[in-house]
Amino acid sequence: MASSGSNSHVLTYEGCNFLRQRLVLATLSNRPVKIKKIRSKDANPGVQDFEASFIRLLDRITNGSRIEVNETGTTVYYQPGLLHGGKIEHDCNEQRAIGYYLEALICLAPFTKEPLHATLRGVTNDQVDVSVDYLKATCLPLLQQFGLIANLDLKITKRGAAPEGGGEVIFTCPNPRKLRPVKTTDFGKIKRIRGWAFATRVSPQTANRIVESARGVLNRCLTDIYIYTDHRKGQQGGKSPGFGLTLVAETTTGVMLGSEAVSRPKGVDGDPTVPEDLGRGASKLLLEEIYRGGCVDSVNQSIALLFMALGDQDVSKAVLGPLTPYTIQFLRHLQDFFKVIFKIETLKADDDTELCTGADKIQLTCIGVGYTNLSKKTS
Amino acid sequence: AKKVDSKGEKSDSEMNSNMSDSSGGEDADEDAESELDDDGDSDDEVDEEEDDDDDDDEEDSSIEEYGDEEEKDERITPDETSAVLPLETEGALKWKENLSQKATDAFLRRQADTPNLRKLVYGRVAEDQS
Repeated sequence: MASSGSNSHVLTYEGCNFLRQRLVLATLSNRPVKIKKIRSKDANPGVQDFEASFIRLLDRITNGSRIEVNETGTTVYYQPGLLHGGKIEHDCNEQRAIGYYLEALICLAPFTKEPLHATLRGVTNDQVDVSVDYLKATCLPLLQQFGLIANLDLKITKRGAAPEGGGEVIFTCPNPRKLRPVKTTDFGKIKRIRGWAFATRVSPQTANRIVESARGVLNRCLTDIYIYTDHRKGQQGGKSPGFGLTLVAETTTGVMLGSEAVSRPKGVDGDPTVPEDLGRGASKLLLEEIYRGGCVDSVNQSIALLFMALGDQDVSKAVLGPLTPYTIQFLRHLQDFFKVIFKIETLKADDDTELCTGADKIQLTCIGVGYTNLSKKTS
Repeated sequence: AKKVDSKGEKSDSEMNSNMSDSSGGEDADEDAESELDDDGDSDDEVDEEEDDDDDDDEEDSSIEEYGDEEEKDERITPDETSAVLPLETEGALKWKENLSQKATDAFLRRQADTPNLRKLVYGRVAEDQS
């Protein structure tokens, strides 16, 4: 499937960390992977329910995968099959938000045989994972740069806060034959800020309170701010109460930098979240993200790097903010699975050239492996 | 009397140096200034007493007296005690001063010095290959 040549050599890893990365890269590279010692010393050993749910999702999107989990669940052997895609439905485990599953689906979707049309049910917003709003606002514009334009959509039909969920999203993605190599080095200046404040099963006024406090912080920096409020009730609002805010700063070159904050789930220890604090918190996180800067925001770094590595056999270049630990591990995994090594250069902020403050930017350069979607039907 | 005076000045300057060493904030400077004023008053009192006592007393005793006097003063004025107490326990609690400032400095310092990212990500092997 991969034009780089599938290798029967089994890669072995230990520990429960980065399970998602490993399984996704194994699927894309068509290499079997064995993961040992998953929480072997934990009071609750083996793969957790949300990981089992993730493995089931992988099984659903592929054709002919072989997955072996031992009795205690501490060892997983995964031999990937053909990436099929098409129309799939999946009930995501409520321990993690839909974002956890969707991030992996986004990595796989451009390489499927049939264009992906996935319906995911579960928790749309929680405090751990990226929310679907965030992915919709920041990740989809990024995917468009790689040539995924037609039929690319993420629709939130129902919202469901943690812990009980009840939300539903529909994700559609095209499957081009090849990904376009990208060269994004100019991140521009912040042009406008957009936001989405949601409230489900709480007073509709909550969303307005969030908006007001967020504007209190951001209005001092910029005037072009619009925050939409999204209050859902009844079936649309899921099963649990909750509220949150997603903010996205758009630059003059179309780079999206985002941040978000979500209320503490029902039944969790601690004081209930105050909407004003949440609004201010999300705004400050956005300022932090703008400080980090770069052409891709910190959550989507790994997705951008993956598509650069799997792009056409040409040079891809991207300027990012400081690498996150997740991205650093992802780079190591890309080396393991695809033998792609990025050239990493630190760009110092020059005082004389431009108003370029904030954290040091990093330029990553690679040559794509020339991954071609051979399973796609030619008409 | 002159010797005692010089001693007093010395102690003042010592105090100032101590204060500026321990905390460079503006508040600390203000404290030091107020300290100076108070001490100036006490010095005057000492001088008056010295004049009364005549020259019979040896230098050592006069210095001791002066020391006692100062301690009394500390007890009388509550502002001064609060300012002087941290000086006595300075060694034990020095690490607690400006903790947030120190943390900020350490964070910024760590961010400023960029490690070899290639080595950080891929380890030494990749470094050798290139």
